[in-house]
Amino acid sequence: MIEILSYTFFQKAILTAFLASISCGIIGSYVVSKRIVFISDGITHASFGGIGLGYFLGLNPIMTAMIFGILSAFGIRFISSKGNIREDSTIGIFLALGMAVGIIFIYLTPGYAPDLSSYLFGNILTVTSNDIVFSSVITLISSAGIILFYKEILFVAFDEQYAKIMKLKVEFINYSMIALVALVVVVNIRIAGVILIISLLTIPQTTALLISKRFNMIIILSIIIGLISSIAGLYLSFYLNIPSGASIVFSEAMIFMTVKLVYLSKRG
Amino acid sequence: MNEPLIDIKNISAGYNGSKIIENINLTVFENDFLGIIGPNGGGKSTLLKVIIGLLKPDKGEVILKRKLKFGYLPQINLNDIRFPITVKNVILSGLAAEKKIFQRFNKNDHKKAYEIMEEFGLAEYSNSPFGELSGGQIQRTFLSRAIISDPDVLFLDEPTAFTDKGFSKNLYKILLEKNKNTTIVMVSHDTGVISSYVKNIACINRTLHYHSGNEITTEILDKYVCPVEIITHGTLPHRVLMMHKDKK
Repeated sequence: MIEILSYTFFQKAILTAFLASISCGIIGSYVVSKRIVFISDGITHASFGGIGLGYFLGLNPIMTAMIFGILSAFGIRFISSKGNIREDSTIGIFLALGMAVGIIFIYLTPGYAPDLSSYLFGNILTVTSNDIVFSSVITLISSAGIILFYKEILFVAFDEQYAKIMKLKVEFINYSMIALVALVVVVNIRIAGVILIISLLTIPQTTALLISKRFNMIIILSIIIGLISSIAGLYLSFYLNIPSGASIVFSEAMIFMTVKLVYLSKRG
Repeated sequence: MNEPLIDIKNISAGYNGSKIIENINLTVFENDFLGIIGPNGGGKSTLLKVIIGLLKPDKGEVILKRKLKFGYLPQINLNDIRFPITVKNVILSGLAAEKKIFQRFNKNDHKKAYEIMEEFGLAEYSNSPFGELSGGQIQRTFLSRAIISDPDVLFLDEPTAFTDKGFSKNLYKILLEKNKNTTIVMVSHDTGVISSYVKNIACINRTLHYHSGNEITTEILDKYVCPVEIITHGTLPHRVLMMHKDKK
């Protein structure tokens, strides 16, 4: 149990999981509370276009995916704010288009695309030092953001209209938060992949919502639940020799069901 | 007559190109208690949103005679209320305009919130999740949020939509007390109640008819086909108004 901690790859994985629990815990609480899960998932899939572009241009796919993620987040918000096209339809279009662009670029890139499956399904054991640097920076930004702007973020998320009357910078906060969603999702893509990453922003938070109905408590609980499930998932993945992304998601779901059952039995 | 506080000039507004209100001219006076009545879809809430600055008018302008602090009780949509936030935090959010960025709420703010919660019977729900309140409690929480900053003008959109009759009476007592140093603009279906408390009445059904004083006459009702709910029981002061024929 302890000896695998001496492997560098495992240490890196634990560090990555720790950072991800914090960034996903914070931003995911916002996503779930504000009910923007679908737009967040749309951004994730759209950022796959950036991964393809990164391969094609020989750049770090995470970098290009960040740009794609932010641009599609703003694109979805901007187009649906015009009022002609509904937001869910806009998300559906961006989601599919991003994936399509990614597939085209990867197809056009000569040779075999290494690590492709780690971007699709995640493999926390392949994280590089570069990935950890990106993840640390984004975790720092998310933590500082929520601590410094807690009341602004809370009030804008709760009631935009009243926040406007209170002269809060509603648009600025909305766009900053959706950009942060894109960044958090992309830097953590290596953990669970484009397909599963949304779970890190939703399952611990939904579990936390069963326990508390206070925004700050939900953030703290999500971080703890995220941490426990990613470490459990890592061990599961190591000992059962199964993909880490899937085993982390599985652990999260197990914790969710356990908590749900406890609450159901309490109610009698 | 008091000094004008807000001048609304030639306002036309609506959503996505459709016109809901047209060429509205209206003056809200200092310490006014203005009741806005009118049929559903007649543009009552739209007008309120334009005055507050939540909706940009297609035409015309709203002139504030001086810098004004607004308090607003919106119409409540119970489906929207599931965000994980405590009752006390919702009420404190009414003070957000007075706080600088990074500035936290102080003892005084919390004390103020508690006093209002006491007044509105919300004290025991202070730390409760907002989403678990009843309709009436939600409305009282929103009302608390609207008045915690001691606004210059208080805008109320159907303030009694969810409250039980017992609290309605209490509410009007509180509003009349507030009206001593606060201007109040209230939208309501409840014309019976409106005419008992307000100083002036505006009836809006796409266009606006202003009526100085608080008598609702058959002329107003006839012209604008306003629905009337007349309260003839209970301890609320009331006026019984004449019936009017529906206009096709």
